[in-house]
Amino acid sequence: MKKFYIPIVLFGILVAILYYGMRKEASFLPSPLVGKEIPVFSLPRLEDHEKWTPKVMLGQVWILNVWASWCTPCRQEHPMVLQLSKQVPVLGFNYKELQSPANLKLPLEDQLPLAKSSAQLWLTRYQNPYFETVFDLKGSVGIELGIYGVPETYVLDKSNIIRYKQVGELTPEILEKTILPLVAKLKQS
Amino acid sequence: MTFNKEPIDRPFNWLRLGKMALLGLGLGFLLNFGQTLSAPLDAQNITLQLEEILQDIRCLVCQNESLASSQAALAQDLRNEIKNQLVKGASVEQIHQFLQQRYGDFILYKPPYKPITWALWLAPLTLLIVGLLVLLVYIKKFKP
Repeated sequence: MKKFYIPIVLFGILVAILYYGMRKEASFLPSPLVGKEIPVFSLPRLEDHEKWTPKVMLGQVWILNVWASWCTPCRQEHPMVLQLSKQVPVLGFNYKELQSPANLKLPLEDQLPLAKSSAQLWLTRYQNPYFETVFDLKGSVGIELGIYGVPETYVLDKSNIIRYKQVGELTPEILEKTILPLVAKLKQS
Repeated sequence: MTFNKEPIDRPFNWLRLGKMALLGLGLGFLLNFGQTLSAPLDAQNITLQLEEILQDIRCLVCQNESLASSQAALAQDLRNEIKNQLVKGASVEQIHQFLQQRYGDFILYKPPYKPITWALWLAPLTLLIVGLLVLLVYIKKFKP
């Protein structure tokens, strides 16, 4: 009779493991970039015709927030980004603002003003949390950063090393329990 | 020579039909072969290589699709990126490394063999051996 239970127990364990695997958030993946310095890039800024590079942030703890005006979850996390921006500078990393094929056929120098005005509209409407907004129109810097799900949020330390990466929208829980404590810790070091 | 001859009334011949079919098949092959040769060898190599590479790469946006079949915008970007790298002469290993460094091991359908994946790689074989051993023990028990 005892032997009869062994397969049932084994089956129970298997079910438990599979159930755990099913419950786990599948979209969360550890990023190989955490612990590494942010890749060097240079992208156009919203305000003027200058380019922005992450080098200027050396010595500061800062946040990189990937967003676009077409991204609906970005609007959901927006209050959190605003809250975050009161504690730490948040860079708006605009990822592929233009989506329509007609706009993407335009020459690149015409795409940028269009992207800027559409991003500006969104920022004015919902309040701008960013100290600076940069534009990655083709998503090429996005590939360097391993971006695959907008919105994404990166915490960077004073030496521009990525300390945390969040794929998908911020939640009050993640903000309170993970990001804000990490920012406070990094600011002290 | 005139062409409007009366049709020759030949009895139906299976052998003849077979010969004709073979000839047609051969011609088809020849044509196909010619077409294959006519494309620049380099460009074709890259297309073939690209197709092969893309089968083994996961689209992270829609995780159960390969990069070859995904319609996501990021998949399109990555396909272009990989193609560019192939044109520049990158090897498959270099491309895999490029993707792993940015997106992690998960982007490859075939995870690399390292301490954290040992269980993953060795579990099937271990289970098989354990199963066989258990089976052997049972069989021996039933022997008269």
